[in-house]
Amino acid sequence: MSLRIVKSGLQSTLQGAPRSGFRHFGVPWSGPADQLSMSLANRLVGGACSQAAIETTMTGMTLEFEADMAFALAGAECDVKLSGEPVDLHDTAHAKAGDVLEIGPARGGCRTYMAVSGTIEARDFLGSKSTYLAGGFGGASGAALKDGDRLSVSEIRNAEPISTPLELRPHFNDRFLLQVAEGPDFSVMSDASRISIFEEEFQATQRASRMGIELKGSSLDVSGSESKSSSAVFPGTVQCPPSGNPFILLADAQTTGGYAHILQVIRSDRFQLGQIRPGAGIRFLKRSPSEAMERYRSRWLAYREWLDQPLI
Amino acid sequence: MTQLKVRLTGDDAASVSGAKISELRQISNALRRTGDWLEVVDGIEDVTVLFDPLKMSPDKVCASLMRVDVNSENEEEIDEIITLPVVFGGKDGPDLSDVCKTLGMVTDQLIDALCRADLYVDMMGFTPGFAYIGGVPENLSVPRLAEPRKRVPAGSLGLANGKCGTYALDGPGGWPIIGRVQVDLFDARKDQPFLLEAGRKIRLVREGQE
Repeated sequence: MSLRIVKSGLQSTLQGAPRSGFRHFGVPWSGPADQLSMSLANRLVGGACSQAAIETTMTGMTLEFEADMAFALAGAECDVKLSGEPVDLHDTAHAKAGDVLEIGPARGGCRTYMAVSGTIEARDFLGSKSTYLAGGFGGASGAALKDGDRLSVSEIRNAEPISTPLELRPHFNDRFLLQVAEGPDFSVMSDASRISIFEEEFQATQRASRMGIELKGSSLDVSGSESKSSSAVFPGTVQCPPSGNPFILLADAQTTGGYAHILQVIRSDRFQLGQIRPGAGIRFLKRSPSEAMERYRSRWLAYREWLDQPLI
Repeated sequence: MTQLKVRLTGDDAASVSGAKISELRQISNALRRTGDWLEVVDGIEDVTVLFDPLKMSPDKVCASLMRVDVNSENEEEIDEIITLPVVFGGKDGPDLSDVCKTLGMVTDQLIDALCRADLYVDMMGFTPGFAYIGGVPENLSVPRLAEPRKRVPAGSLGLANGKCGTYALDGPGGWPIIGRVQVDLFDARKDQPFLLEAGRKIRLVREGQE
């Protein structure tokens, strides 16, 4: 037993690689809501990008180390203390058995990741340790971490202290400019909505989870889309039900949906979706498919020297 | 086979449409066999693939989708009918009376029509084990709810747009709910955790109503 959860916070889950390849059975990916930040945290402890780590939500969490190990944090900025001493995000840190780590509330953004220099033991389901809350599988018994839970960490290794290069650190406030491509149902929107969707700032509502976030603005007109046939959706899909309030889908996104698929957040920007909290402002910036690919390629070039794996 | 239509979505997805659902299912099986795609997801009127834009150009993606090799020799017809016992109406089917009102039917007419129909799983999706079930009589089409529910209990049976749909897990849902299946549609402890899969034949059987 190597990590004891003292206060689990609003929602803390174990996340690792996406559970990919089963979407045709309706199995969502799961994995980190912000894949970039989890990859950066893992990099600092010498782990693979998709090594299982803890994802905390808004309030942070408190845990106790029951063995010596290195750890690192990345994602939403917050105050972090190790047995009272401040710890910075994006730096490798070392804990001794008995140390207590307090991850404070996110100042901007939504989710902070904590990675350790070892393997967090968890149930593997369909090839992934990632927690899927709605299905009750993966992670710690298929559920969010609870006060008093213990996580075993095996194969603890040494980790040299390093820092994420400054230019590779994403910063999150609560305003997002998301690059999007037209979805297959873009044209079901009225002419006015097709213009206003790129001019208006939407607000994330309280209906926000790892599955999706509802946005509110002046209602979009998608009349005539009520009887669309269900078709594939993915993390990054923006759907709009007849009520006119669009939803952005996240890591736990369902695999198909019947609401109008109006936009698709492009690959290079999908990590940001995990940092949108209720009340955040969201604007959409339109890109063509070829511009989108160019953006993704340049983001990957920027991170290629530092991370072992491109983002999806 | 009819002329296929290929469409790119954003920088990493593309879909094929313009064929009957039986042909689309052959296409998705053929695409899965190539191992070229990150995901191959069946829709009712299309098949969508996800690809890695660092490895495949859009031109190459569209070209390989246009000339997908449908070799039907691996296709197996699964003939065994799966019987699903259902409790209709009451708290298990909160939208049954609204649906009947929309259709201008009494509940027994609707239930009898559904239980007589030769149903089959068109596709799986939305959530783990959610089955889109076709073969519903044409006169039983109602729209989705204007506002999706935040939580629909596992086992719920929905009816929308001329299809039945079964929710294998608790979760959000936008289909009017007319009843609840009385067997587990998803069991994480089993080797094959999903009771249903695309292509399976289904028969609904009415259980005692509340």
